[in-house]
Amino acid sequence: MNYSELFMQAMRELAKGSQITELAEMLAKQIEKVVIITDATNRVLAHYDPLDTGIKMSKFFTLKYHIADNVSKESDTNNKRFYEDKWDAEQGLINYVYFPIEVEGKSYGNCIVLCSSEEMAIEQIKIVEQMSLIFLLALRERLQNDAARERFSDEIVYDILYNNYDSKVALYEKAKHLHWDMEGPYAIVVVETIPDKIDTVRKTGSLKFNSSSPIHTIINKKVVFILSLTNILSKNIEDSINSFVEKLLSNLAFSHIKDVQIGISSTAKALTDLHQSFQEAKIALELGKAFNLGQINHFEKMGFLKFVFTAPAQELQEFGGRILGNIIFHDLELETDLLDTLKVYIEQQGQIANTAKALYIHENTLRNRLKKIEQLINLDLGRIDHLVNIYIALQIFALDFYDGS
Amino acid sequence: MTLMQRGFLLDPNRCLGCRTCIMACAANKNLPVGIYLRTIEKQEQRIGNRILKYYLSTSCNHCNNPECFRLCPKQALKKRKDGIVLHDSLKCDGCGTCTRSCPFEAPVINNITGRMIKCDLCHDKVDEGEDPACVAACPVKALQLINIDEVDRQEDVVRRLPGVIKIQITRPSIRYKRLKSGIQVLRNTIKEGVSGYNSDEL
Repeated sequence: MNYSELFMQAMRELAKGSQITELAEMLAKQIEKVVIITDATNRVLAHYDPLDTGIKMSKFFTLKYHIADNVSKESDTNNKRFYEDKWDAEQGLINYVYFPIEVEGKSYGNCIVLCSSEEMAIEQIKIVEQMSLIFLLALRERLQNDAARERFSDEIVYDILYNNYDSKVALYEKAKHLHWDMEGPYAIVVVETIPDKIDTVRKTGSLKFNSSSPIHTIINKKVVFILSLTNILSKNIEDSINSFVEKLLSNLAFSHIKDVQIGISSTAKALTDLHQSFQEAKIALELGKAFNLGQINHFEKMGFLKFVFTAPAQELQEFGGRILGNIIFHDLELETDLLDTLKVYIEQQGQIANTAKALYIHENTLRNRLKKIEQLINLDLGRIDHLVNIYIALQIFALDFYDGS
Repeated sequence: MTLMQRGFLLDPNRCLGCRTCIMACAANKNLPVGIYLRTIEKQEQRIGNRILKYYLSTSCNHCNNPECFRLCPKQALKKRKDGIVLHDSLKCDGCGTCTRSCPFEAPVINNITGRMIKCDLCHDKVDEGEDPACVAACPVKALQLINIDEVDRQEDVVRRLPGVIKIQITRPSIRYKRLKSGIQVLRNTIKEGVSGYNSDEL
C-alpha cells in the first residue's frame, strides 16, 4: 500500500470512528516499526509494537523539543517536519524520531517512531507525515470530547465542593452517571501553580489512585483532585496520598513545572462532606504559603496554626502587638535587628550556637541581644509558656505580611 | 472551570461615612431594630508624618475560602457559582460558630429568630441585573459591585488599606481604591518611619 492509499484508508477508518490506538496500529504495521502517539502533555495515548520487541512503555514519553540541530533528514518538500533523539529505556538507549502533531503553533501531541532517521526510507517518512494529519484530526476530536465531558463534570464537582445543591439524591444520580466511585471516605488535594500551566497540571495529574482515576477540576486557578480512599486502611491513608502527590510532582517536573504549592485536606466521610475538606485543603495551602511551611501542606499537620487566623482579628493584632510591639519599636528607633534575631532563635530551636551561625554573629553578641529582648518584652526565653506566646506572636506577625499573592 | 467571583469595591476617597448603605441594607432586608449587616468605621491612620482620615464600609466579604462555610456544623452555608456565600436559615440552629470563625465578624445572630443572618449580596437583585441595595443607595458611588478578577488588573486598586483587618488567608472578595492624599493630609512632627504599615497598602 503506498502512502496515498494508506492515507485514504486511515481517513475512512477515522470517519467510521476508529480510535487513535487503531490508527497507530495501522501505521506501525505499514512501516514495520514501533509507533507511539502522545498528547501535548507527553502522555502516551497509543503504543503499537509490530515487531514484538517487548519494549515497556511508561505513562509518559518525555522528549526534547524542536532543537534545530536534531533535524537529521528532510522530506522532499524541504519542510523540517521531524526530529531525532535517544530514549533511555530499560533496554538501553533507543533511537527515535518524532513528528510534532501541531497546527498554527498549537501542539496536539507527537507521533514517535522507534528507529534512527537513517532507518527510515523517504516513503516511510511521507507515510508518517500524512498519518500525522490523521492523528491531528483524531487528537482534536478527542480534545473537544474531553472538554465537553470536563465541562459537565466540572459543574457537578463545583456544586459538591461548594455545597451548592438542593437534593442529595439528585447529586448521587449525577455522580453515578459519571461513573464516580460513590463510596467514601475521600481526601482533597489542591494544587496551585503559575496560571498558564494550570491545564497541564490537570492533565498530568490524572494518575491512577487507589485503582481509579481521581475526579479533577479547576476552580479559581487551582487544580482540585478528589481522591477516593475506599479500602485504604486509615493508617495507610497519609502514605497513599503522599505517594500520589510525589508522583504528581515528578510528572510535573518532567513538564518543567516546578513552582507548585499543594494543600491536602483531612478525610471526608461522604460525598456531602467534601465541601469542608475542600476548604481545609485550600486553607492548608494558604497557611503553607503564609508561614513558609514548604511545598506540601497537610491540613491535619497545621497544629494550632489553623486556629490562629480564625480568632478575632482585633484580638490577634493586640496580642501580637503586646508581645512584640516593644521589639518592633526598638528596631525602628535604633535600627537594630532584634525581631529578626528572635525569629532565627525560635527557628533554630533555641540553640545558641546554631542561631549565632545563622546570623553570622558571635555567640556572646547573640546572648546580649537575647538579654535585651527579654528586657524589652518582659518574658523569659527559658520558659516554655513564654516561648509559646512568642512563637504565636511571631506567626501573627507573619500573617500580617501575607498578602495572598 | 474559571468562575467569576463577585465582590465589593470601596472607594475610601469618596465615602462620606453617611451610613446610607447600612440603612438601605436594613430596609431592604427588613432587619430588626439594632441589627445591621454592614458597618462603617472611621479610620485615622498615621503613615510616616501624615495622618489619613477615611471611612471603611464593610459587610460579608464573600471570601474565596470562607471559614463560616467550612466550620458550620449544620452545613447551612453554600457558595454560588458567582462566589456569593449564601446562608440557609432553615438549616441554621444559631450556634454562632460562623460568627466566631469569621475573622471579619460578618455574620450576626438575629435576636428575634435566634438564627444567623449575613449579607447575601442581594443575590435576587443581582440575578435581575440590578445592584445590591447598599451599592444602589450610595449617594457618592463609593461602593460598587465588581468581578474581582477584572478589577485585580487595575493599578489603582489594592487588597487592603491601613485599618482593614490583615487577614488574607480567607481571600476576602473586597477591593479598595488607593487612598489619595490631598486635603486629608495633616502634617505633624512624628518621626518618619514609625508607622507599622507597608507603603504598598496606600
